[in-house]
Amino acid sequence: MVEIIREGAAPARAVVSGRTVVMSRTRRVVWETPGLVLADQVKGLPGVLYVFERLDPDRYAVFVVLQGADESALDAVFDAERELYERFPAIPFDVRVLSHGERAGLEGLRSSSVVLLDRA
Amino acid sequence: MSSSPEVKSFLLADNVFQDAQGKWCIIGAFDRIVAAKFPCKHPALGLFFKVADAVGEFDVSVEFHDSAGRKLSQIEGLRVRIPDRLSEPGFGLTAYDLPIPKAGTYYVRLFFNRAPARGQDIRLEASHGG
Repeated sequence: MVEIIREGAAPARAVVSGRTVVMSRTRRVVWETPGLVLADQVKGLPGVLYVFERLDPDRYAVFVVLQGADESALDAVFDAERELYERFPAIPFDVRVLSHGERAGLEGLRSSSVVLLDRA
Repeated sequence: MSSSPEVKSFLLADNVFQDAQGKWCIIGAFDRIVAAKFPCKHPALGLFFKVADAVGEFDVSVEFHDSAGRKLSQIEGLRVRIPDRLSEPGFGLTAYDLPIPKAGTYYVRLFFNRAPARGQDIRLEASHGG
């Protein structure tokens, strides 16, 4: 946790790990959606090729496309998915895991979704 | 006891930063995003807000909603301290990678300690263009 402190006209200070530093730039943050967080968590796993996110009428659909992923990578994707439900209680979503190939319909996903991870 | 801050200003801009003298620089304020195609991801968005009538420490979150009131994305993990009720401090953020699913009307909303801030949301129009 970074604490942003602004007092009077003095420059903002941030307390990071108990140390006070002067902020000469703004705090940098990242928007969070289920897909963005999942993509960040699985980007280092072997066999994870793409992550797409599409807003369907009632929920986000997050697509994880795998190629040659082993059992442990698959388990890691599902573990990450479970954590998302606690992190986003107010954002309905589901996660779909696809094998890279004809059925993945990559071109359709590319045009209808935001590409969050592309390791191809 | 801490009361929820009143939002005096809330702006989106291309760049929000603080100079060496502590002045906030808000460059390229906007309320419309034009994209060649949707869905898209807006690479960087500056947010500036100025608050008043509060004292204490507050967890701050920012939410992005569509026109139906659905929460689409969020920023969490921020904490601000307002030392003096008479002060009107400003805070700036640069937020990256906002997914925008389609053209339409969206709202950016501020929350303090998980309660909606007193003040106006930002209305953001996303449309097709060049």
